[in-house]
This record gives sequence, structure tokens and C-alpha cells, in this order.
Amino acid sequence: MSARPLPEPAELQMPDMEVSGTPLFESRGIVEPGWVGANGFMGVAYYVYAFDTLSPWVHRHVGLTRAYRSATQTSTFVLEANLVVEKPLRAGDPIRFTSQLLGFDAKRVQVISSIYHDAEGWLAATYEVIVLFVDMRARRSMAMPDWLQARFAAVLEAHSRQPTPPQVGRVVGLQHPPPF
Amino acid sequence: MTEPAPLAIHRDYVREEWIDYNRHMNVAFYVLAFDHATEAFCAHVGLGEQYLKERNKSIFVLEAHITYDREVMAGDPLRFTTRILDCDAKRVHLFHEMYHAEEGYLASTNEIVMLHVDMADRRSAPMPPEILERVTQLKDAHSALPRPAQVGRVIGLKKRAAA
Repeated sequence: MSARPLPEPAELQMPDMEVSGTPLFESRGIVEPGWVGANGFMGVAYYVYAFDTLSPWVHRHVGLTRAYRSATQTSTFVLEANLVVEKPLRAGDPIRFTSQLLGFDAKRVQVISSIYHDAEGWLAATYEVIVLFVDMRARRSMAMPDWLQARFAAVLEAHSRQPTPPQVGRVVGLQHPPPF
Repeated sequence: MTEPAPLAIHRDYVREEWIDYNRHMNVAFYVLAFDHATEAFCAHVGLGEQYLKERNKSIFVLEAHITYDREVMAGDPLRFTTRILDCDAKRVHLFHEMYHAEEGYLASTNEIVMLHVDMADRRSAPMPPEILERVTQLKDAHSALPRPAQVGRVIGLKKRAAA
């Protein structure tokens, strides 16, 4: 494994976490009709789809935008994920996402994201993931460049001062009573 | 009655529309493919479409843990195995494995808890006794199988540097 040099995107401003209203990254969306099954509930795969496409991945905030990954032939692959549904969403519901960095090492990043009903405020689901940094030339994991790890360190410093959701570290099983 | 254990009752292939910009199956569509395996399990134990429609019931997945072990590409054939880890009156705890059906490698695992829901009030409801008995029989048969390493995993950075 030889880390090839990856330039720091000069134009990118680090998010100012000290002065922004919320210290966690946020984004918004809406539950698309196609995400909802015949029973009116949003299906399990579409929770993952919503998190994957709409949640404010920490990676984007530290410079790993689609354009940057494409230009440097790098990408990120999800290695593992844990989804907990607290309350079903329905078509047309406005949704708000937050993402909190929980940890990282040279190649991997651990994040938990949450979806809330944006009008009523309740938590709909959480999604905890391990994401791997990948060299797309070799399609293998690679160490993140130092500048990127420094940015993750800065984000972790801010996010670790926030409470972590109780869903962090959840094990699937019948030990939790059904939420409805 | 002896069942083949684990269940091997579902096959699929990777659809073009499941592929993302990394040119492999997107994380969400692994879960959709697994959801089809859950539907196959439901049909196998009597919780199929006809039952759900006639009784105004539904199945809802409450929790899912996915390990993405290897990439699969458009057109790849997939086979699934399913074992029942636990159940109570309203819920089933399942573990699916997804294999590349020709090359044989494990592509992904999916551990879930599914809930039986009464659509009249959109709340959890007990399964009919004959279905619960069938699920319990499978659980008992599967309890003799070795426990897969991916069962009961906690997300973290300690183990596993894959790919």
C-alpha cells in the first residue's frame, strides 16, 4: 500500500463549527412517493437510500466532494451499516438529517446520521456506518492524506462535545421493545 | 419434518438500476435485494402477499445491520441463505447471507428484526399461532447451526480492515 499524493482542495473553506447555529452537519429533503410501499410505510431499503443520497456526509464537508473524488480517482465505500427505525415515515413527509462524526483512523471513518420529521420534530431513524477511503485505480483501500485526516480531527473535536445518540453501538435483536 | 438449514429459497441478480457512480451495487440496493429475501421468507412461513392482504397486516423492518463484504456488479447472479435467530409473538430476528451465485463468494450479510403490523391501527400485532409455530420450528432447527461471525456485530473501528 503506497499512499499517492492527493492535493488539498485549496478553494474549500472548513465549516465554521464554532459559530454556526448547529454544530452537527445538517441537510433537508422530502420522502419521495417511490420510497413508500403499498402499505404506506417507507421501506427499509429507502431509509438507507435516503441516508446515502441526502444525509450531510461528513466527507463532503471536509473536501471529499464528488468532483474532488472524480478528479483524484478516489472514492468512499460503506463497509458496514446499522439502521434503527423509530417511527415510520410516509410519502411527502419533510425530513431533516444530521450527521455526527464518531471516530476515524487512517482509512476509515465512523459516522451516525439521524432523520427527523422536519415539521413535527420526531426522530424517524438512525444510520451508523463505517466508510472506507478507496483508491479507485486499484479499487483498494488507501490511507487518507494528512490534510484530510487533520480536517477529520478538527470535526471530531467539535462533534465529540455533542451528546451521542443512544442508538450508537446498537446490536440487532429482540432486547429492545418494538417502538409501535 | 427436517428442513434444509439454513433456508436457501431466494435468488436474484444485480439490476442495472441498482448500480451507482462507483459502478457497483449501491448500499441501498443490497438492502432492497435482502428485503426481497425477507419477502421470500415471509411467503415460506405463510406471511405472503395473500395473507397480508386478506388479514390487513403488514411486515415492517425495525432494525438492520449490513456488512458489505465484497462488491457485486450489474448482471451478477445472487443467491441468498436465511436463518432464524429468534422470534417472539410479533417479531422475527433473521440473518441473511448474499453470495455471488457463480463465483461463490460472500458479498454481504443482513441481520434484521421484522415486525408484524396490523394496518387497522398501524401497530404491532401478534402473528397467528400456526405461523408462530412454523417460525419457532425453523428457529429451533437453525439453533443447531454454527453462529455466523457477523451476528450481533457492533459498529466500530476496532476490527476489520477489509477490501
